[in-house]
Amino acid sequence: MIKITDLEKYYATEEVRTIALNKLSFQVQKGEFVAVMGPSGCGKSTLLNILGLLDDPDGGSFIFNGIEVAGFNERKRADLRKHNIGFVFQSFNLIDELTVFENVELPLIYTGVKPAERKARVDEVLEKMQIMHRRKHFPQQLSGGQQQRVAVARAVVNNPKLILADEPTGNLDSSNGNEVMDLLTELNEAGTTIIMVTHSEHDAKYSHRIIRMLDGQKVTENVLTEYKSNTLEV
Amino acid sequence: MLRNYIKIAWRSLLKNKITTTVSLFGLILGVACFMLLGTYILNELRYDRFNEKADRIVYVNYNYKSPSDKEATHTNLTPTAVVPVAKRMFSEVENAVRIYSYNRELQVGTKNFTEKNMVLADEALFDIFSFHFIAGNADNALDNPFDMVITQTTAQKYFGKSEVVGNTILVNEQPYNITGVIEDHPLYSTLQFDIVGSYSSSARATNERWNSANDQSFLLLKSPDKLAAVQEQYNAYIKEEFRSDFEQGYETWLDFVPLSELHLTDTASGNIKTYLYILGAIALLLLIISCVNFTNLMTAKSSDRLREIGVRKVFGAKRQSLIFQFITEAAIVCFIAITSAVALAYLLIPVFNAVTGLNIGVSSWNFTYFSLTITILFLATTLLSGSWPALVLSKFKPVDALQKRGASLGGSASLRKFLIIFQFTISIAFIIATLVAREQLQYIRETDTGFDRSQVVILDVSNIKAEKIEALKAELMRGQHIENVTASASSPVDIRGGYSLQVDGKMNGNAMSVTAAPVDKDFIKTLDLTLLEGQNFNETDKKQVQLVDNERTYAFMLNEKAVAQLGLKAKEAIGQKVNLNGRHGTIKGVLKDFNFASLHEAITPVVLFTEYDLFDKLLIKTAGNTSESLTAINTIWKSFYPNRSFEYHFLDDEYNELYKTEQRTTTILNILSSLTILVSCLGLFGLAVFAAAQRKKEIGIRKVLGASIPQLTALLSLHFLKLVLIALLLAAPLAWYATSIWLQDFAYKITMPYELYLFSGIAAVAIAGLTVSFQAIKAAIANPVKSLRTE
Repeated sequence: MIKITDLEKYYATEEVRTIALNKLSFQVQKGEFVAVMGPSGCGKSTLLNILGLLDDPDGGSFIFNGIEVAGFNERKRADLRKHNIGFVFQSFNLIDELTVFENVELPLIYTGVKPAERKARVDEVLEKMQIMHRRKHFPQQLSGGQQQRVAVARAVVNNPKLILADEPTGNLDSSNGNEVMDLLTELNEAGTTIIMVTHSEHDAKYSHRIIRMLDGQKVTENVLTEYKSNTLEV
Repeated sequence: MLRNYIKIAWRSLLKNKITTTVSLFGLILGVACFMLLGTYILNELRYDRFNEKADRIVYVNYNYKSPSDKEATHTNLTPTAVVPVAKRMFSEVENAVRIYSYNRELQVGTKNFTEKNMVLADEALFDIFSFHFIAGNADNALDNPFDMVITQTTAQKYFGKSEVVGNTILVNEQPYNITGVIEDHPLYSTLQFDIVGSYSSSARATNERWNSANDQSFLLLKSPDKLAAVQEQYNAYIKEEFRSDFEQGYETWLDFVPLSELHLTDTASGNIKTYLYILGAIALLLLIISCVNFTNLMTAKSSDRLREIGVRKVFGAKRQSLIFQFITEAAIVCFIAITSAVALAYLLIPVFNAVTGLNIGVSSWNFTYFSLTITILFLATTLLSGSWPALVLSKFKPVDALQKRGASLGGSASLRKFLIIFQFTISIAFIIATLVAREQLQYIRETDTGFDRSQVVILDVSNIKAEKIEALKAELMRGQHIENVTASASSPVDIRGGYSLQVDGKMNGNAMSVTAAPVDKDFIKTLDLTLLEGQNFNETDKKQVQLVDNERTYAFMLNEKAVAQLGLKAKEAIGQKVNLNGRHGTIKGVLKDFNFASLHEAITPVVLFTEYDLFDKLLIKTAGNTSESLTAINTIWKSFYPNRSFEYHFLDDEYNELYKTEQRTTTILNILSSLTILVSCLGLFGLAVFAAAQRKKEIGIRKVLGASIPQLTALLSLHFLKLVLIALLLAAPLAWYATSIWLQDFAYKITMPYELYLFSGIAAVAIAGLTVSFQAIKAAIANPVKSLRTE
């Protein structure tokens, strides 16, 4: 599903050029659950931003579902993103002025889903995440775990093929954290590809494979569970 | 989608209650003031335009200059010949009318009235101007001598009913036949007579003269664009007709003013046009300030929403949809603000009228103008406040937006700085200008005009015979609390009579144009005018002018300017034989210059002379308790004129009335400058709140590292105060320029009070300092643990 080759990203100020990704290459198969680990500043988040089409690489190739997307402009990226990718952030990134329902509904609005269908789909996903009773609340009225469940609901409401999770349990206590990891595992078992950046060895164990990074490069790769997809899509 | 935007706009307004209130309030205030001043300006501009033929009506001004005059004399009154000549000689003149002020004693049944608002006019009046006849026929209402038309209110006043056609009113004992009743004049009409009699009632009608100017003349042209041509033809005609006078250096010419300009160029009520420009500019500036303010706060707040923009982008929002969202939000807020502002303006009209003494109304809100203005305002504020966040914020890469990278938003920060400087420059300039204007008006009120205006009561004695006035005067002098009494043809603050003065027997002696007024012998004493040389008028002077024609001699008092223009020293002037429009006599005294007109005008040569048959005013200098004096005067008046109402005013008030346009403008300026500074401070406050919130983390860190509360307060406040100081530097020359121009309009004025600049500066900095430090202190004393944790 994803194939990156010699991916490069620099952050340059007037005097210093920092290399965030240094000729990074790997592949992710459809339906796989991959954890990316490494110390702070190793380039994990930069990688996730590029994989999520939120940022563009400075060099290398990025093939998503068989299409080279490294040179896409913002409009094309946005289009591809809203139909294929869901995001879960460490800090939830819910919009404070919108209710739970409205937050989850947002991606559907941008993909042009009709109101009646939107309602049905939001309700369904809220039910699944067990936060239906909170649908009229605002984010600040929820606990951290509830907020992250809303964020996950929002990420999956559009049935994306890929979910990118950036330290999804970073702001949660262990029981809420476990709940969220269980949710992600369930989604993965249902067929969604997941790439998760994490600091937590515990969370990483939920994945099929752990990619460890340092200074923008891949250092090691541990396969925890052999994942076999029916077809090797690249 | 739209519902979603409206919802989020509404919730984000509610979330930031302080900034919302502040920005909305400022905008509402600005728009409401703009509407109010706009209404006022429209009221002034629509003067006389209701006349159906307004575009073709011109008013005639008369100008003359004799060879010894330094400057020409301009008057809005014209000789009786102007209208008949215009009708006879110039084919482009369709019709013309003379209006002559004719205030006389009226008798209705057994009751006597003094009518102060009666005129005589040619029959063309009703053809040229638009009047609504309630009764009678406009076509022939003034065709015959002693016809008259009265307004509805006048009919009610004299008869208690409107159906009065066919009744008669005695005017100086001559019966006039009422041939029509018209609706009262609109407030915005220059013509405001109560009664109009036919011009043919007066001997003036058959007496075509060029040498005395007392009529208002209006011409109806066949086409509005013929104004310049007819004026030119007419002046050529005058030049030809009075060729020999022109050859001797006497000049006479007319100039035509379109009716629509008449009210605006009326010098008697101050130069309204200038004030309308000033107020218009102020209204616009206040509007701009409040819009700027609003934009400022909105953009400040919007960068708070970067994360939201990031989230929306991550989930697929396109740039257009974000632009649309921000514009929609701005539109909602602007709609609320403008609707409220219109309502507020409507509610404030009575207040505005009470404060300014004007009478404006929403009837001048022409629907087209009104909706156009509102639409433009709505679009402008929406675009101004919505486009920055729409265009700039929507451009952010989602990942930058999410991490609030570039959240300090360099570009917008300098935009906001610029806007704050702009606002405060205008506010401070306003404050300075207001203070300077106030100082000038204070100066006018308190300046020594060369005579004592205090405690002088003025009674109208027009149409009362000189002997009767004498008797009344003698009786008053016996009364208590009365120091002195005198009579005169005009009020000492408004002497207008134009005469020409000539030294007898002087070779090549050209006549000199002077302003002059007949006065009674006690005039100088009563008003405490300063006699520099010679003697005051006395009993002998009074007797001399009451002799038969060929024995009669006049006594003249000249001011310093007049003596100087005659080329004499004060001492030499005494005893000099002169004649004033055929009145022969000697110069009896030289008076120190005094201001006999508004201080807009420099003192010109003036002559006072004894003549006992032209008095209109009785001036009574009272002493001690004013109300007791008035009671005493009233009692004596009633004993003389039981049927004539006792109407009086004070000389001081009449003097102040000369500056009513200035006073009104200063009042409006006072209010507006307070409002501008208020709106600017609201903006500053909102931004301080915002800055404190944005720098919460920084403040927390600084505090943890040991910064004191005063240090933190200074950190947050100084940034804003620096901007206010820059504004002060910009405002000072601006205010200097504007007030210098305004002061040029006065012949007598203050020297520029620079200390007021300093004062305004200190005041502005202090007000701004208070505004921001309140917020800064609040931020500085907050618990740093809390602010650091929330980041």
